[in-house]
Amino acid sequence: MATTSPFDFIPLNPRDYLVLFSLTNGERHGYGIVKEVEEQSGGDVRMDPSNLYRSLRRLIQKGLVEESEIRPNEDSDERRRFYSLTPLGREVVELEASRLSRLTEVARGRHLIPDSQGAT
Amino acid sequence: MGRVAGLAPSVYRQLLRVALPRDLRRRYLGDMVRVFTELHRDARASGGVWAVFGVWRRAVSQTIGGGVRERLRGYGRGARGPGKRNRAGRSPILSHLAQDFRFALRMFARQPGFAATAIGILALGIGATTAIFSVVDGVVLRRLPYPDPGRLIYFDQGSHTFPDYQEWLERLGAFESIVGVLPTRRTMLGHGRPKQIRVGQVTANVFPTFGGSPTRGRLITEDDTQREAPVAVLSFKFWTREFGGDESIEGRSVQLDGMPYEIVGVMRPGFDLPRRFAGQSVDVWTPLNVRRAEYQRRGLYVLRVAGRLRNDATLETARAQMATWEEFAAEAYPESNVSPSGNIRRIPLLRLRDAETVKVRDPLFMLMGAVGLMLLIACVNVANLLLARGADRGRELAVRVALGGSRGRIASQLLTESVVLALAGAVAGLGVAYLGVSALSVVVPDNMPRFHEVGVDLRVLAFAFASAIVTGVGFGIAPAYYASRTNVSDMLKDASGKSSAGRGHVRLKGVLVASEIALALMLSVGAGLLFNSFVRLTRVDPGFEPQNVLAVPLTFGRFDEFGGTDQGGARMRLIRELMDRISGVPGVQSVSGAAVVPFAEDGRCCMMSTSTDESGSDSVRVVIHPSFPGLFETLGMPLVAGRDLRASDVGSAANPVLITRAMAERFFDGESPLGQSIIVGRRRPEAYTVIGLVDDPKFWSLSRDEDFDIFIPFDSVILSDFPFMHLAVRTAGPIEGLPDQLRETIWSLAPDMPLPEIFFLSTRIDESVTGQRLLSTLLLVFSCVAIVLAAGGIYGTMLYAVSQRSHEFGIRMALGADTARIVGEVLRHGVVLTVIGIGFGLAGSVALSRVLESLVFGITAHDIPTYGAVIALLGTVAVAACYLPARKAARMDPMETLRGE
Repeated sequence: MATTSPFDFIPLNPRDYLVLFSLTNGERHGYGIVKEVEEQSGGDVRMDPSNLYRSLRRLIQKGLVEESEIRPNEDSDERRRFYSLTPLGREVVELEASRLSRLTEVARGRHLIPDSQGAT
Repeated sequence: MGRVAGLAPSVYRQLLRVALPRDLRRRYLGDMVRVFTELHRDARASGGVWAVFGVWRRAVSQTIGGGVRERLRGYGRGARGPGKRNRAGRSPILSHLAQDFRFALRMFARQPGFAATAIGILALGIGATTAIFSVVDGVVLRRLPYPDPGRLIYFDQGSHTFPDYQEWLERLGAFESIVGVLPTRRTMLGHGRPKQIRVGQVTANVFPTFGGSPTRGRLITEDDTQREAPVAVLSFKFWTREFGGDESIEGRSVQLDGMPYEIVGVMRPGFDLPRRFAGQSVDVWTPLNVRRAEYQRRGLYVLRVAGRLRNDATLETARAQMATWEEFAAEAYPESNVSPSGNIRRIPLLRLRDAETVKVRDPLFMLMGAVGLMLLIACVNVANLLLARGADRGRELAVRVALGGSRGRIASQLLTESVVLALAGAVAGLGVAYLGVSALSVVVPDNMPRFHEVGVDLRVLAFAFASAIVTGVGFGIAPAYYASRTNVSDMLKDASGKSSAGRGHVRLKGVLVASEIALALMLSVGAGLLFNSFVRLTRVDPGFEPQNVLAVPLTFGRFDEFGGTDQGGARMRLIRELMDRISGVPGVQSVSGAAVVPFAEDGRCCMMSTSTDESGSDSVRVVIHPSFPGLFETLGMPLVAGRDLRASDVGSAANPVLITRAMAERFFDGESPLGQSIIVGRRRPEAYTVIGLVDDPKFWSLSRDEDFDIFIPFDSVILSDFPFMHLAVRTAGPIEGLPDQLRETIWSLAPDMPLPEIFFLSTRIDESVTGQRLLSTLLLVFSCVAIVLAAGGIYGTMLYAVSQRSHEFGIRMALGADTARIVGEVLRHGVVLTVIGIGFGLAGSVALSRVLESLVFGITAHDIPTYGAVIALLGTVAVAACYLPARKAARMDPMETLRGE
């Protein structure tokens, strides 16, 4: 298989984008992602865990996210999986972000949304 | 706290188990539950109930929604990877569905008897439910046909005074508009015989508030109302009916009560004010000037009022403002706004939708519940059929499992079959519903609000199909579950090809039968109670003899032409002359008159006042009936003591009055009231001397408690104040053409008198219980169907049980077992199920009886005889349904059965 181009993944579905975006500041575990997504979206997107992991599985399959497994202490059976962006994943989220920003510019040009000064 | 917090994760875990495909579950289940637990804890800590609710709502919708989408996309097929499609290019799940669907159709084609029975039962259940739903939807659920109907508010308490209305305009800031209508009847001249038409005198803001617009010309304006312009707007229906849709109608004029009105426009088709608000449907709209001098009396309760809330106001704000006004009015106008017992006059503000349907909502919801029960019974019945069939198909299913068919696929096949059955049932059921609604439209009483909006439309279709899917899954799930759990090796070994009905299977059938009996019992108890009430209602003695009494409503001038120069005297002479002529008509036995006769039309009432006993210690509200001599004889109202009114009583200084028994008991405590006095009126109290005593008549409805009625002589002063009255005519029998003859007689004396329907009192009494009759008849029909279905269910189950054990019975009988013992054994099984069913049904009925409390009459909702009768009936039917299979078991030829194996 030839190397995958980040352009193959654009446009991302909005939820995947938010999950990827939440990982741009470093690795997080599931709960952390849900909280970050909620915060980034201004409370508009609240994910149920089942949806989160569906999204994560998809992103892992596509090679955009990788997971690491650690145990908080030796004796505990409890495992926590942490997720981080792969280099490809980072490229994809950057591409998607700039695509969205272009779209926003267009919308602003047509006065669909107020200028950034107006919208606090 | 801890317990609940511990419960949530495990519930969530179960939810995931059900909804998610296995591979996702296997890898992430623990993580998901952990994250959920943390989110749940956060929610509890932060926002309380709503936050927790949000977490759960997302959990349910996203888990299930995502699961469904994923399966549809074919993810559920495990490691085969996403998006794999079969050769036909369809996703696997869709091709499975299509395959299952075709297979289901083939199965049913092979067993047409089974399919027809199941579809028939479902058609009945879904059809009845859909028919009732269409009524509930049209009458109660659907939005009122006005713009933004949620903000329309009805000022309850019947009619209001003009001064009150004007004060509300100033003080109730929560309203964007407050509108008034004065419903009247007027005589229209110029089209053959004088005709009485329904006029709505309205404030101009009625139209913007309720979204009325003209289809021709213009509507009534603010300027019209201020000038009291004699202009009229026709309703669309009236324009087409009376004027044949005349294109040049504007500018023409109509005569209403002798006054010419210029027609300025025609209302758009279909527009009418809500019945509860306007009191009637309107033929002609005319302007109403609320500031007119004659209207400013407090005590003239004629104006009906509604309003539209401002965008930013709530009903609570409006109610608070009204409460403030009520207190103010009680202070300022104690005479009209404080009752004799010291209660302040309150004006309840209701949402118009609630006000419109308040009376019919309970019976309708009750019918909906009843058909729901019937549908449940139908479902249980079909589940039972499927279960029996599933057992017969055990061999087929076992072979499929042995050949590698997954149990999930088999269950989904069976579920598809039941949904297909239900959909077929729904299609047939729509036919049933359509017939049902047409039949209902014939028998539903005229006063049912909004019934004209009822019909089988898209919403109703959607309801029927949704209920089909739900019932299909509902009755299919248990049989599918059991069938998919068959033990393959046992099944294949068993030579009979039938599943050797596992214990769980038998128990499930028992549960189904018992629940059918329980449901049928609940339904029948409800039906029994209402039927019993209805019978009691029809046996109520109205306090007079309504047979062969004709009532003739007479209408004088219009309501705002009170007084005038000796109008009363002229009317009195007319009435006397009329009575004279009518008593000469062949077949007429006696004739009299009163302001109002029993069961007269709504809105034609009498005088209300307060009456006090002589000492002034006790006072009650009374209905004053101005009457002519001979009224009691004509109506067949027994005179208990004293004498009737006489012509010479008119104007007598003694102020003679007849009172009812209830009133005599209240005021005179068993003593003879004759010769005693009562005081009538508060503002200008007058003493009246009791000259006679009559039984308590039912004037308005058979179920309502007696008013305190008093009868005084109809004199010309009262007559001049009354826009209408009734003649009562007792006839020798139901004489053909008599009403027409009466009409001609009246018109020969008063050619301008409009004469609405002349009616027999007995017909009106019958009509007054139409609603109850309809409700109890429908319930009775539903409960009969339920009992038949339940009996069929028991019969089928027992027959099936017997056939399952035919081998055993054959051997036992070959070994010389007693037939009575075998009958007894089968019967016992059935009786135990029946008793269990009756037990649960009783518990359910008692729990539901609170709902019935407001609908029963003359009995309580716990009426023991009704319960007893229903239990006896159902028990007998159930035992009979068990007995037939039992006898069949006993009559089996042992050799035959054994050879059959």
